[in-house]
Order: sequence, then C-alpha cells, then structure tokens
Amino acid sequence: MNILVLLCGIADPKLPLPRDINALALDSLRAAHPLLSPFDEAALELALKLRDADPTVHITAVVPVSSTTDPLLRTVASLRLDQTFGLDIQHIPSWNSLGVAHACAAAVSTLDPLPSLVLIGREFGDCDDGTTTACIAQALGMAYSKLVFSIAIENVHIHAVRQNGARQERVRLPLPAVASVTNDARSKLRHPLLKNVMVAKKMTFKMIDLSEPIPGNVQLTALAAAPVRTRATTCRMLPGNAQMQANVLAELLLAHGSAR
Amino acid sequence: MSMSSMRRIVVVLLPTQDAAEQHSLLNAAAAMSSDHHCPLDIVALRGGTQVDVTPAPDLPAHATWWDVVHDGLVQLSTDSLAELAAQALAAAQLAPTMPRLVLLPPGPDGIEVAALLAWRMDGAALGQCMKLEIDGAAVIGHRAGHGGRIMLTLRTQQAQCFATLRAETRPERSALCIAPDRHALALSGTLPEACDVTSIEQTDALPSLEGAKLIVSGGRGMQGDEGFGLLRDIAQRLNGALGGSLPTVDAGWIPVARQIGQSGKFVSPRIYLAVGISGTLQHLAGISSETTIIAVNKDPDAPIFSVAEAGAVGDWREILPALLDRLESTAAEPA
Ligand SMILES: Cc1cc2nc3c(=O)[nH]c(=O)nc-3n(C[C@H](O)[C@H](O)[C@H](O)COP(=O)(O)OP(=O)(O)OC[C@H]3O[C@@H](n4cnc5c(N)ncnc54)[C@H](O)[C@@H]3O)c2cc1C
Repeated sequence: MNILVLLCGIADPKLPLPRDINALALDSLRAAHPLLSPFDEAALELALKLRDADPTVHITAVVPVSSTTDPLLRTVASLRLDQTFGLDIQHIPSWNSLGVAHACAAAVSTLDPLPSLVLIGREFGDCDDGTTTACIAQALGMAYSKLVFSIAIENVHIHAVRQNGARQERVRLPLPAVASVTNDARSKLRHPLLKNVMVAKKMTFKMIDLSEPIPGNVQLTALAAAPVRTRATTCRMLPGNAQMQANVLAELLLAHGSAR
Repeated sequence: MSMSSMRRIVVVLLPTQDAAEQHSLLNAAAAMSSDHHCPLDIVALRGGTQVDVTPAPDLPAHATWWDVVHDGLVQLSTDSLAELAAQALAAAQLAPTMPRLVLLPPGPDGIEVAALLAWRMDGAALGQCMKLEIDGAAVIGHRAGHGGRIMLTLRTQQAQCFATLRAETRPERSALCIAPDRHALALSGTLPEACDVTSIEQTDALPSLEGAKLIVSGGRGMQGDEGFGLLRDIAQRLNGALGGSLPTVDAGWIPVARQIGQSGKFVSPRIYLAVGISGTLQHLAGISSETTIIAVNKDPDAPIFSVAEAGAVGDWREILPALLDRLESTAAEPA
C-alpha cells in the first residue's frame, strides 16, 4: 500500500507580518520560517498511524518548496518516511487554488508507483480555505472525503471516520482515494526520534519539476493587513474579588445572553 | 449598464445549510443584484425524499426562485450536490446567456461544492469571500489569508465565477422586500453512486453552535477536562452552546465540530463568554462583529480584552465555580 501525503506548510503564525505586505515578502516569510500547519500535521500523523498498523505501508511526502534546502523537507523526513520530494510551484500563486490543484495532481502522476491513498490537510497552506484539497481530488479523479479523523484500510476500500456538520460518521470509499484530514486529538503529530532527526539532517532531496503550463484565471490586485477589530468603548473591567466578578458576570449573562 | 458587462447572480442553496446563513447570503446577493442591476436567480437544491419545501423569504430585489428536485438525490453528499447544481446551472431555464457569479453558502460543504463547480465548468474559484463586488465585466472578491491576518483582493473576468460568501450586511430597514417568482425545476440526470455511510452515535448532548444565542467557550488556558466540565455546566445552566479554540480540539477537550475560528465554525450569538482564550485573529475570525464578547483571562494584557465588552481578570479556577454557584442560586430564587 502506497500512501502519499501532500504537505504545504505555512509561515510561522507567531511571527509578525512583514511591514510592507506583498506576495514576495509573504513567500519569503514562509520560506524562512516554515511550519507544518495543524492540518498538515494531522494528515502526516494519520499516514504514520496507518503504517503503525501495517508495516508494509510505504509513505511518500510531497512538499511544495522553493528549494531542496527548505527546512520543512527535513522536518517531514525526520519522521522516517520512505521518500520525501520537493515540488517547485513557486510560479503558481497560492491563492490560485485551481492552479495549485493542477500542479499537485500533475506531481502525483509522476510518482511510480502511483499512490492508493492521498492524504492532505483540510487547508493547503496559508491562503487556502479548503478549495484546493477538493480540487486536487477532482483532478486526480479519485474518491474523496473531507474532514477525516481516522482511517482503516480493508483490501480495496478504506473506512474513514469523518465530521459531517454536527455529527460524526463512518464512510466506506473505494481505493484509490483522497482524504482531507482535520485536526483532532487523535491526529496530533508525534515527535520524531532523535536518531531520525540526525539521519534527516544528512539527507538530500529531489524536486519534482513540472513543465506543463498551469491555468490561472484569477489575479491578485491587493494585499493588506486585515483590519484590526476594535471597540468604540474600552472593555468594562469587573472589579473586586473572584466572587464579586462572578456575581456581575452572572448578571450580564442572564440579562443579555440566556437562550431561553 | 451594457448587457456585455452584466452578470447573472445565481445563489445555490444547499439542503444541508443553516437557515440563518441562508438568510444573510440571500440578502447580500439581493443587495448586489439591486446595486448592479444584475438578474438574481436562487437555486434551492432539494432531495426527492425531502418533503418540506424551503420557505422563500421576501427579498430587497426582484429574484427568480428555482426549487430544484431530483428523485435520485437520496444522499446529501457534496459530490451529489455539486452534480445536481451543475445540472441545474446547465438547464435551459438557467442557461448561461451571460456571465455568471455563482454564490454558495459559507462552510465546508459550500466551499467544496463551489470548488467542484469551478473545476468542472472551467470557472474561476474565488474561495470563501467576505465581500464581493461586480466591476463591469470583472468580479472582485475579498477574502482572508494567513489565518485571518491578511486580506486578499482577487479579480477575475472569467465568465463563470464561483465563491462562497459570508456576509454580515443586513438589508436596509427601508428597503422594500418582495416575494421572488417561484418555479419548480425537476431534474433527472445521473448522480454519483451513493457511498456507504453510517452515523456514529452522538455522545455530545449539548446544543449545537448553529443558531446559539449564547456560547460559552474555552481556550488553552482551561488546561484540561476539569475546566471544560465547568464550562459545560455553565453552558447547560444558561441553555447555551459550548465552543473552544483550536488547541482545545487538538487536546481532545472538545470535538472539532465545536471549534470556533478561521478554520472552524463562524458563530454569531448575542453573547460569547471566552474563558482562557487569548484572542488571536484566527479565533476572532469565527465570531461575528455583532456579538458581545465577555472575557475571563488571568492576563490583563490578553488581546481578547481589546474586543470584549466586559472582562474579568483572574483565574478561572476561582471565577468559574463562583459563577456556577451564582447561576444556580439565581435559578433557585423564587421569581
Ligand atoms: C492554519 C491555522 C488555522 C487556525 N485556525 C484556528 C481556528 O479556527 N480557531 C482557533 O481558535 N485557532 C486557530 N488557530 C490557532 C491560533 O493560531 C492560536 O494558536 C489559537 O487561537 C490560540 O488559542 P487559545 O487562545 O486557546 O490559546 P492561547 O493563545 O495559548 O491562550 C491561552 C490564554 O489562556 C489564559 N490563561 C491561562 N491560564 C489561565 C487561567 N488559569 N485562568 C484564566 N486564563 C488563563 C492565558 O493568559 C492566555 O491568554 C489556527 C492556526 C493555524 C496555524
């Protein structure tokens, strides 16, 4: 069984944004301070759990990066994957979800053997809202489920547990399949073993180069910091000890909020 | 305005959609339609087994409402809904004689159906927009990136353009609302094969976040199940819903269906009680600007206090038990 994990990475959200916000500066922030997003981590952990359950599972990761020295490649490889590739999609802006999906699908088709299961975080990078993952599945023409927490493989099917609105359900999909994975307590990424971190430090990585033109029909016309949400009046700080604060809180909640 | 620069606005309503979100999407679409003199169609998808017809609200613009019925739509999966929406958009009654802006409800289902339609119909995908404008032949979408920290302005001239819209605009009070012209549209094209789905029994009996008037929400500062137990009791006492930030989902204190924020649910209760939540943009992106936030946090400099109406600086371990006692004793008092 070959599992592919597509991991986009994000710029460390704790770092301040560049003063002059432009596409290049944001790309540089991502390149210099990359992290796996909570959703990338969930997808990777799910792949590792499937390998724990069946040691014959092979895991390949494909990570969009600008160079083979991107630290994210090492981070990913330190989890002892079978193969880790970089994918150069610098020429495709991250908000062009259809273009990114085309490129990812084209990259998948260069893999030999082709994966039976593709795992992707429910959001792909810093500018995606779920559009890209759905389109990657469509481009690959595979069965698809979103918001998956866990998967069990059974011959030519998977049984996935997923969130659907307010309820959870179990779905059976034929392989090959794509699952977009959501964050959950069950899919918190494990820490790599120190020896595997050391091995990953010495690894060299290959890039998948795509030559075919990528469609793009959306242009970015402006980028700006999101407006800061502020209030006209300052926050009313409740005075006194915990009991006094609790009394006023109870009054406020009962006066304004009670759903009855 | 010349016909060549005109766009038909088509709203696709999904049967899985929350009524409040449906209402604000329709009002935003009607406002765009009257501002830009664009025809407005509403395509309400409905399965063959679904008996109740979506009530068509009066809108501040002339609109044509299509009740789309397909006897084969048994499973409300997004690929079936995307296929049915594609069939409806190709129907003669809705034929694309002019460029279209197709709007879907915000949230995972709307995003997926919009993406699948854009992919299949060689359209432009603008993603989850907070605002949309029509500028001659172009559509301009405004949406967030980098966890709500930046705003992207995207422009496309593509004839078929797809977006989800989370609009907080309310119709003007003075606007005259009229009933849409209502028609049935029966479709019978092939739908994807249903897949094998079974529901998992619900262990979480609290009301859902959708439509909740009061939400009690916890963050990483709750430090474990014990704190969330108290929040749950307070929510129950107030008939409210329970929510949390992303780290609390990752820690397993609440299910992902209760995650609020940029990547979770968008909520618009009257009151949002935020306990042990710092107030990051990623979290605040999930709370309506019309909601009153009340915060409890031990750090007086926590950013949540700059968006809260009232706040208590202190440890939840002291404040929450006292709050629960007070709520219980108030409930026990004779009216
Ligand atoms: C791609 C991506 C998507 C994301 N999407 C979301 C999302 O949808 N929703 C979301 O919430 N986050 C999201 N995040 C995470 C976000 O960046 C923050 O990490 C998160 O919002 C912080 O949650 P928090 O406020 O609970 O924790 P923290 O920021 O750690 O804050 C904890 C607070 O608790 C207070 N505290 C500690 N102890 C006590 C005590 N005893 N009593 C009272 N107060 C106490 C502290 O003072 C602090 O202010 C996302 C991140 C990424 C990268």
